[in-house]
Amino acid sequence: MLIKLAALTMLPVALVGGVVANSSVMIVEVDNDDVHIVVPVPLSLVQVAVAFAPDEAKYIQMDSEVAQYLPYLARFVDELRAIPDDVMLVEVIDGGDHVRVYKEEDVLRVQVEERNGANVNVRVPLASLAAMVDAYDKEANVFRATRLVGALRAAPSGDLVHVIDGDEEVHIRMW
Amino acid sequence: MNRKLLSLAIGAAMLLAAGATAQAQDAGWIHVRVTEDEGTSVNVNLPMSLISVAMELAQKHAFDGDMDFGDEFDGHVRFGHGNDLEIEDVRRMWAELRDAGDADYVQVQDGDENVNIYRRGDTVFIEVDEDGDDKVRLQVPFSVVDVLLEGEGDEINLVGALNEMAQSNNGQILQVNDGGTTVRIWIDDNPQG
Repeated sequence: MLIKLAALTMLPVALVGGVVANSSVMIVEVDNDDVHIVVPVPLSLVQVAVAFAPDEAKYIQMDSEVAQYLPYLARFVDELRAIPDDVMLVEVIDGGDHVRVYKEEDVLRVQVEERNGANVNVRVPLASLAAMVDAYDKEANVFRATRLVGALRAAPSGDLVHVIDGDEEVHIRMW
Repeated sequence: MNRKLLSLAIGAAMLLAAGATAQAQDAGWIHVRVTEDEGTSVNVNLPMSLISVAMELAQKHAFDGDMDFGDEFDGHVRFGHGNDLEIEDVRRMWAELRDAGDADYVQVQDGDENVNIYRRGDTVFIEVDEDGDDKVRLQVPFSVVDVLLEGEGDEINLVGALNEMAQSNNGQILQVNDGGTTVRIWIDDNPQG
């Protein structure tokens, strides 16, 4: 009897553990002189939680003005995906500042290096962008939150955002 | 650096590229190079197809009223009525200019700045000089203007004109020299230019 009780008690833990083990985890890390914060966000768990959330959280109402841009975003993504890798789309060199925008595999990369040492590196997974557009339900004019989280899960492992500015550093990465 | 000049050049490139897009969907890249003596440089390589989407977006939101690109951008631009100059008037003027032979169309001298627009043979030359330096050099073959104005009513054929320009000038669209700054815009099939 005790064994059955223990098994029942452990079932939710095991379920959660299984979900996390199969999940993409987004790690948000903020570092400066005063604080060091690391927040791991297991996306599968978030997706499950959202599924049980109230409708207001599950369905995100869209402003119709914004919604009309989504088809264009989808087409932008399609066109970007068709571009060969490593073509420098935009490069600006101005004194010690250097901005580069290029595509690498299925990721749009934006790199900014400033003369003062600040660095911004952004990797925009095109699959995630496409999945975000798919998360929009045109009939209901809402975004389905579970699918938005799913869009994040489509991001490949590695850095998404890495900003270094003086003593401050922000790092968002998929693991 | 003359920021106005640069903005104008890049804006023109985007508009021109958008015009060229409809007929060059499968291939074609527009390149913009800006270099300055002090080391600043701008290097843009964009596929026509991407600019086409941007232009459709722009047509939807930026050109309400004066310009109409239609529901699906096909390279033709329709101008609204009530402008100071109607397209029909431009067509009539062009027809007269075409028959007039070589001529100096515009000569403006304003201090150290000179603007000359003239025709020699089948080419219109647009030259802007300032302080004795070359500023803008643009050669427009007659065939480009012919194609541009061949639309119906208030419509001009922006796509056709751009394609004609690219073919006539080996893909070169615009070159501007402004003191230490050079702006060059051209179209070709090479992603890196």
